[in-house]
Amino acid sequence: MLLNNVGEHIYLPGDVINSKIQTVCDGETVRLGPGLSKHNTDVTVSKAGSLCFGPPNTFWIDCHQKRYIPCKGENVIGVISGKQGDYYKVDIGSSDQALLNFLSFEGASKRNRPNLSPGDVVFGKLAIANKHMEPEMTCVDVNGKANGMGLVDDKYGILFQTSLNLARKLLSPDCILLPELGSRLAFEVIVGLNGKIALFCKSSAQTITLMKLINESEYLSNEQMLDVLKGMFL
Amino acid sequence: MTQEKPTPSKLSLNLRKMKFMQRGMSESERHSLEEANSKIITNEHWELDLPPMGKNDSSYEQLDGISLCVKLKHGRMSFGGFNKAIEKLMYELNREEKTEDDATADSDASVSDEEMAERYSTLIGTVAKKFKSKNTTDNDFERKGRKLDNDVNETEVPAKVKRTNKRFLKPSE
Repeated sequence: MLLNNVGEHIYLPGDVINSKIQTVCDGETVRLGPGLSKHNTDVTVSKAGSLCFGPPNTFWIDCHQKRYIPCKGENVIGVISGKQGDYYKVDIGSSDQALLNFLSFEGASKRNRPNLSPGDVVFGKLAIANKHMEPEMTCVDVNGKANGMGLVDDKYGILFQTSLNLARKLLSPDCILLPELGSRLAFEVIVGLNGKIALFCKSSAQTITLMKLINESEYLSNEQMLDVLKGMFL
Repeated sequence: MTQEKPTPSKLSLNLRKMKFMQRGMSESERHSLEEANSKIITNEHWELDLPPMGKNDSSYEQLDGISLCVKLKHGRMSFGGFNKAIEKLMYELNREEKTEDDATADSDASVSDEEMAERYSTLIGTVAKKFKSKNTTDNDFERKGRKLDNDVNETEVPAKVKRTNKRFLKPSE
């Protein structure tokens, strides 16, 4: 649903797309994103979806997906589900629960531990994401700063699950939904690339309306979104 | 009578490895010794018995996540002053992105011309002030004395000359 689709063609697992790639970048290094893999000399599709191209040389397959596959460096929202030694277990919607160290919070030390309990919502970055291991989260950046990550105070908000496509669409710089909403309403939103969205507004009526709007915007173009917004806010 | 030629006895490796023994060694001997040394080291180290790694087929690079393919915004956003801290963070991130774009767009310079001009325009005032304060409010006696000395050389010399003129003159006999 991102806006860099190459044509309307749908590719299926097993399709070979060498020719397609060679027409765009011949002889250059090609970056293959999720959904594409290289077998011997062939580039094969491993997910069903549309082929996307990002200048200058990146290709990937965009497919509708709800199950999150952890990737290093992605920002995700998780729900604490328990403690295990020095780690919290965090449910981020992937096949395995992520680990979150006590010390990977801003200002945390061995004496000064964060006090999180099961059910708390955290926003963090995946530090380790490996096929064969549990993913590991962190709530600080390389400088030890929180940068908006950490415990999410969810007293007045709502956490809901959407498809991964919608999360990516909301975060893409081309999507105008959130900035346009922001110019009309005061609210806070956290979008995790694992499809979890936390939303905070001044009243519960607004929260519910925005949640519905975000959920319905998955298949709307920018122009259609503007029409809907104009209808709602005059 | 057959005289046996004394064959040069072979010195042990450990002896040959010593520093003072290496001084008189020929080049080839030293080389063979080095080789033997390196063999010893590799024997002690663990090595995987694998065929030599071929160079990575460099025409393809595999990326794991979508976030590496497209530039995505930071996930936490606030609008309309709902969370001031986050809005400040958003503003800073946006500015960083913009400056990055500018830098890649026009040149490799880490500081843009406009930024440089702005920095220097603020500096002009402060530098001027520094000089000003030095001249007007300086109570350091020593400095003052030195300054006077310097100034006097040019400006007050005639006055001094005059003073010497007013001195009592010895009457001529």
